[in-house]
Amino acid sequence: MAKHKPPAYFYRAFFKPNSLDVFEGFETGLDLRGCGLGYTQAWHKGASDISPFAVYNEFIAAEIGHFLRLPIPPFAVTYTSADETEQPLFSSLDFNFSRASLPPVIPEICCDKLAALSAGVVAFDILIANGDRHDANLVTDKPLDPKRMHLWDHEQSLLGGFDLVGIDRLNQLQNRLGITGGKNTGGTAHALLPHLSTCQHLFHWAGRIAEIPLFFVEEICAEAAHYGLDKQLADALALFLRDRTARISQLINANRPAFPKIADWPAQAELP
Amino acid sequence: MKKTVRFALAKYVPDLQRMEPRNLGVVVWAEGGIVASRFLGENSKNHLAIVERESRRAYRQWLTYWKYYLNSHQISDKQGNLIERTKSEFFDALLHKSKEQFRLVDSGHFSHKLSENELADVVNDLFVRLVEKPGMLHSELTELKESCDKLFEALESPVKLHHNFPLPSRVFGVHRTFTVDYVFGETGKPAACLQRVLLTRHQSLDSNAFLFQALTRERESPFPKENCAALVTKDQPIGNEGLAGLNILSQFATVIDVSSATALRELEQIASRTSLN
Repeated sequence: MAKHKPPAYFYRAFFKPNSLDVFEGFETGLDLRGCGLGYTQAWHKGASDISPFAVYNEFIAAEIGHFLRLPIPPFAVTYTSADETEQPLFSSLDFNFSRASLPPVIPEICCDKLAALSAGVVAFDILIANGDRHDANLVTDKPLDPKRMHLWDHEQSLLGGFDLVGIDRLNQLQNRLGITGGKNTGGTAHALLPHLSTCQHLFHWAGRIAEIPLFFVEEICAEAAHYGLDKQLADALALFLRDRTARISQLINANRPAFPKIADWPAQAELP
Repeated sequence: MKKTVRFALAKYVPDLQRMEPRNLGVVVWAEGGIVASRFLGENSKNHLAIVERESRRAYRQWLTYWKYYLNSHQISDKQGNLIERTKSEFFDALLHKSKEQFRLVDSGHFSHKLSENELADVVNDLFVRLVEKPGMLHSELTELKESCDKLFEALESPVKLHHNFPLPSRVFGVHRTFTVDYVFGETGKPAACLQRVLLTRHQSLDSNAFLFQALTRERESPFPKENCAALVTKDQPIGNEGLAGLNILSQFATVIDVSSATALRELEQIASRTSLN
C-alpha cells in the first residue's frame, strides 16, 4: 500500500454522487417533494504511516457498531482528490455543530448511570479488539448524570496501527480480549472495563453479537477490499470476526479477572 | 506544616486557528493532596462574557468535570492507571483531562512552601491577578452604583444625603476613619449610613461586615442597626459564600436588595427615621 501524508482534518465533505460531476446553484430548503440539496459537516480520517489501516478499521467497526445499535455517528467512505490519486477517507458526521469540545466521560459514572450501554461498548470493543478506548473517545450529554453517550475513533481496532499490525495482530489477539492494555495486547487499558459491576448486560450484548450474520461480516470485509484493503487481509479479518462473534461469551468468561468489579458470574453450567 | 504547591490555569481557546487562550480559572494542588480552585462563573452566571455564547454549555460541563476530579480521591492517567490524590502525579493526570478548546495548563509552582490555610488566599490572589479582568469588577460596581443612585434620586423624604462621607471610629482602641458610600443627616450629625456591597466579592462582603460592626459597636455614638443598610443586588445567582456573607451582614445592618420592588420603601423608612432625629 502506498505511503500517504499524515491525515489532514477538514470540516466539510462532498458526498459525491456518481451522476454529477459538479455542484452548481444549491437549493436552499426543500422542494415540493420535500427534497433539498445542501452541505453537511463531517470529520474525515485517512491512512497515515502510524495508522495505515485507519479507514478500514473505522469502516468495519462502524458498520458492526451500527448493526448492534450502538450510538456511533453516521458515516460514509468518501474520497479526497487533494492530490492525483483518490484516497479513501472515513467520514463521520459531526454531531457537535457548536464546535465546542466537551469533556471526556467519567468512566465510573458512565458505568453506573449507563450500565447497559457501557457494557455494550465493552463487548463491542472486545469483538473488534479495540486497544484504544480511553475516556476522550466517548462523550456524554452531562458528565455527572449522563443520559446519552456517543462513541467514536476505532482506528486502532482490528488490524491495528500502533503496536501490533495486520495479521500478526489478529493472530496475537485471537484468544485475548484485546482491550486491557496488557503487555501482550498493547494499547491503552479500556476506560470502562474496571467499572462494570455486573455481567448481565455484558452477556446480553454478547448474545446480540453472536447474532451477527456471517454474510454481514463477509460482505463488509469484502467492501473494505473494494475501498483498497488488501484481499488477503480482508479475508483474514472476516475469519477473525466470524470466530470472535461465535466465541464472544467464551472469551469473556475465560478472562473474568479482567473485570475486577463483576462478582455475579454465572456458574459454569449456566454459561450463555 | 508547610507544603510544596503547584498551580495550573484553566484556559479557553475560542478559535483554535487564532489560538488566543483566555484564562478561566486557577487550580492549586498542595503536597499531600490538598486542592483548591476558583473558576469564572462557578457561583453565578456573571463573568461568562469571556466565553463565547455557543461554548457556555460546554464550559459548564468542563467545570463540573474538573470539580469532580478535584474532589476525587483518585484519578486515572492516560494509561488507565489509578493515581491517589496525595501523589504529585495526580496533578499531572488532572492536567491531561483537557482538550484543545478547554484545558488545564501547568503554570508553575511556588518557590517556597506554604501552609494549608494559606491556600485559599493563594487561589484568590492568583484568580484576581491572572483570571479576573478589571473590566468585570468595574461593570459590577457600576451597575450597583447606578441602581443605588436611581433609588436615592427617587427618595421623597426631605433628608440630607452625603456621598463618600468620612466617618471616624475607634476599632480595638485604634482611631480609624471609614469612607461610607452614603450617609443621611447633617454634616456634623450623621444619622444613617448606607454602603454598596458586592455579593460576589469576598473582599466586599468581609470589609463591609467589618465596617458595620465597627460603626454599630465601636463608636462613641454607635449607629443603631436599623439605621445601617447594606445595599446589594440579589438579582443574580448567589453562591454559598454570598449567602454566608449576607448572614453576617444582617447581624449589623439592614440588607436592602436594590433590585427589589420594596427597595425604595425600605430606603424611605430609614430616611424618615433619620429626618425625625
